[in-house]
Amino acid sequence: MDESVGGIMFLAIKEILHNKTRYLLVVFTVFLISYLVFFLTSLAVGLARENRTAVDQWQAKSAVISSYSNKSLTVSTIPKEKYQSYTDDKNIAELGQMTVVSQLKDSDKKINTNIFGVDWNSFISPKLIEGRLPKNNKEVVIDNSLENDSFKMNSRVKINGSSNYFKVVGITKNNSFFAVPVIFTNMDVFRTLKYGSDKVENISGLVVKNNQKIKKAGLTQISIKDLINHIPGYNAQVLVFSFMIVAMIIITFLIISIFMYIITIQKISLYGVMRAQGIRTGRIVESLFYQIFILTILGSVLALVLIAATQLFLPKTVPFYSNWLAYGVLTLAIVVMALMGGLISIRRVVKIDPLSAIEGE
Amino acid sequence: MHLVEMNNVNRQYGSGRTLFEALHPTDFVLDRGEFIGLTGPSGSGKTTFLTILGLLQSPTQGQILVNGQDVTKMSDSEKTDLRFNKFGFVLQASNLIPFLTVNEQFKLVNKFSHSRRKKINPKELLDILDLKDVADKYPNNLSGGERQRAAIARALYNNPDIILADEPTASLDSKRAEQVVELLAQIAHNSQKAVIMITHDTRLLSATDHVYEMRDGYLRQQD
Repeated sequence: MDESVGGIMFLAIKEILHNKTRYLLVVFTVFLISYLVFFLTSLAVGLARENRTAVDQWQAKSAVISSYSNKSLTVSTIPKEKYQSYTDDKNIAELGQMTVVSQLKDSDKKINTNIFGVDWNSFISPKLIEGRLPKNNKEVVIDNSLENDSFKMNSRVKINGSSNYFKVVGITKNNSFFAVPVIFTNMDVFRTLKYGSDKVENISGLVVKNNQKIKKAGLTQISIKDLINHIPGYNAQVLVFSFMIVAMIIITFLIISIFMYIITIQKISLYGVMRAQGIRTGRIVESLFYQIFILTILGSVLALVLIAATQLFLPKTVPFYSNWLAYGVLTLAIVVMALMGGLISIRRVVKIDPLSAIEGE
Repeated sequence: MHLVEMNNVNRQYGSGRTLFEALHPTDFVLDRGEFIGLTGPSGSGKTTFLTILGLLQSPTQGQILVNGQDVTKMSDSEKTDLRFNKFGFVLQASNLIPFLTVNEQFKLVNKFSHSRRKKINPKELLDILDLKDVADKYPNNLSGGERQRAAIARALYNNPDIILADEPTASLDSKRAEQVVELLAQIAHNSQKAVIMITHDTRLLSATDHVYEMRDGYLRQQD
């Protein structure tokens, strides 16, 4: 390796240490922007997850819903004659979905929830972290996020103002759909709630675990990705967050380029001296980029530390989800943008005339 | 072979009616062991001459040879490297880097230096220039005289063949000014280097071997 790399690092670090306030300001700005980027990302990922974790749990390839439903599971209904030929296939599971309001016994608080009606023996049956699967039409399994609303084992729950109570016998986790937690029931309970009677043997859709193709009049097969994208509001949400995050990263580029340009202009006479002493322009440019690199890494690492702390202290109801891979990619994007911000200053440095050192300008 | 040889070198600024010849065609030769004084009124072209000789700007016409090599044909980065290795500048405005202590100025030279040529022992240098006590201070915290001496130390440290000093004694009292000039003379005579010093102080010229005078862009040897 070229020995002068040591010289570049020496120059860059010495200068930062000698002008601490000036460079701390740069670090602080990068820190604030990075923190905002990370925070927004965590919220975006958290919200997106609340829309879809229940679907992700299936680990399925596709879903079959009614053709008229415009790819939205929430409005799909499939009558028995359309789906009964698939009920023996272990790789196909029937699903009933409806949006309901739940209420604990002796509580006035109404909570928006989803009902997933499932066959307890199918592959979309929930994985329990506590308790057991229901044995009759009076028992349900709930997602553990309902614990934030005081739901727990053996709680008695009223669904859509039902006259009888359902008993919580099992708890699952990461089962949220459409940003509200899921209550799992058997198909009979689902049909009674949605269609008024368990004799109406409709379902909302079929979940297909493998790659098989299903073609039937009135039914549409869509990929799981498609299903998620058609959760009402999901796409808009993801887009809004993505735009905000991209905008923040572009702002990083602008701020770093402006900061570095101003600092460069202030240092022109110094660069003149360095050029007169025989230090090459290339070295000066490398030192500038090395500084940008150090400052941005410092700023974003501080932001990561604060994000980790935020995660510890944020209330559980905030849809905040730390995705360290995403943070890594974003940190990289911020550093790349900051380095690109330095490009604008290069022109200035290259034009520096060592004569300016002699003239004392 | 001369250390530096300038053949018919001139420098013009502007063009047409605004044409101004800062340096008229000049022949000049510099040899090892020479200590040359350069005087002249301000604006006469002294600094132009010194910066062309020091490869800080190119002449409009003419040829410059350093150690027999034609520098007018060199690329910018080749000239920069040559400047780093062969030339030492002592400038009117301080040529020190503000965020490095006196000692660190030397360290930077070490880090950027490719050649294994012998450096002057920094301790000795600081001793001679009476800078021992301020070696760990930043240029901002030095007095004018200390800063000037530190600049000289910085120029000498790389053990250059040619030292170009533009008013090196400007901010020194007469006793210290004499010491600095004496030091430059010693460097020229004892270690076979060439020194060119611009000065307004004619008393200091007695230590030099030759004196040149610059007037309206014409260079003339005085003795």
